[in-house]
Amino acid sequence: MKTLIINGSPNGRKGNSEIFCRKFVGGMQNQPEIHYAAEEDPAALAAYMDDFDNWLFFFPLYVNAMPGILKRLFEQLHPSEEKKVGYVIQSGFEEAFQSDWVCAILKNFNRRMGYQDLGIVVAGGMAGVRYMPERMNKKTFARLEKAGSLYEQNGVLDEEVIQQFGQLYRYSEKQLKRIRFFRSCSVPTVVRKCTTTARQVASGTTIGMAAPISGRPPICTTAPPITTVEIVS
Amino acid sequence: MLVQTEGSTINEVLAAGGYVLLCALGSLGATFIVGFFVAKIAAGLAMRLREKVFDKTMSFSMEELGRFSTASLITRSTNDITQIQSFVAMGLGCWSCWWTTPGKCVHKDLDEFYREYLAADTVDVYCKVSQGFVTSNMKAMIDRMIVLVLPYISWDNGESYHDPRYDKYPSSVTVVYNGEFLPGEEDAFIAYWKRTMDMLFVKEICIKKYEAAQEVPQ
Repeated sequence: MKTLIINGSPNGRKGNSEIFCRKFVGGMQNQPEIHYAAEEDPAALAAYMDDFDNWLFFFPLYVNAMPGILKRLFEQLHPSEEKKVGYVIQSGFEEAFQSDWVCAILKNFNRRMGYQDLGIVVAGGMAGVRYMPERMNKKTFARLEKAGSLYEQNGVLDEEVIQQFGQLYRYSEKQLKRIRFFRSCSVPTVVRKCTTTARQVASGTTIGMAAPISGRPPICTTAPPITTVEIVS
Repeated sequence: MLVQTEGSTINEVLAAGGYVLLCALGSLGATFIVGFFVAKIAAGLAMRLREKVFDKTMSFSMEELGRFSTASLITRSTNDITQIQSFVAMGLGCWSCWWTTPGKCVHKDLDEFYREYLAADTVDVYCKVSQGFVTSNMKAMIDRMIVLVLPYISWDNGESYHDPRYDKYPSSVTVVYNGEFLPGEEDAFIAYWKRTMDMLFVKEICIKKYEAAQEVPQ
């Protein structure tokens, strides 16, 4: 099992994904190579990747999906029955469900290319990892190291770690109340120009997911369906 | 009448002393209150300044952001403002320079795109399909549209979302796509576009295949 880690962040070595990669390999005995989608020519990197059996992509969630720069690399890859692929997504949003869209896309991508699925880790609430003191990140880093060492043992991204990272799937009303309370205490004068009306209208659009992500409840579609969405196919 | 006056009683001395003590305490209380308001004003100003600096920083494109070091940005928004705060608390204030920050967008082309996009009521997107998803160029474009919303987060309906930066966004977006899908991919593709446009506060989202778009009666 030869593993290559690909950092798909446009920030390359400066971003949170870099920290994620480093912590992940930190838990391993034989540390795999890390390559950067932002630094290398996609065709050359894709050719280099052919030598490895397993690929692990670490990337930040950019507008509901992988960054454009990583998509550019995907476009250079070839279908193969032998490759095994895992993904570690970190997002600024705390809730894991924000990554459901990209999970569906990635699963489709794996299926299309014939890659075997090593699992998808979705880590939410990671916007500040880079700036936060070490002890505030302790839990995240410990989990990543555990994921690294378990990956080395079992050759897959551990299901338990995936569950732990994706624990906060969606906020409950109670959590929302608490968040709003703390927000109102700490930043009293930030007047949100928030037009909830616009949002409420927008949130009427229901979301049809391609396939429910395993291990998580299906996406909530409590909002009333809006009639303007029309799909002609 | 009092201490050096013959015939004054100790009670009279104590009564007058009591007034003096009362005045001193009153003065102390007033000092506290003044201190409170001074601190409040200075802190309020510092907070507004920080907010402004933060907003300005967040309005930078990734390219501009790359030109400043993180350390410098943090110093600007913490230490420098603390200096101003202490000046204001002392009764000085010269912070007008903080309202203007250098930095004009380098990407004139995308500037124009943003302007045109925001001015439009209806937007038509024509996109190719690549591996069951948008092309990398289109994805990079979508990535860069994140500046159209604020970095702030609000919560609604059990989820967090970015606050709008502008009062008005295009109300209707039509995405016309052209390309082949494998089973399951089309749904994920459509769901992705819907979600993305939903985040950009678009109210009417229509996603259809290229051939189908031709058949729409005029």
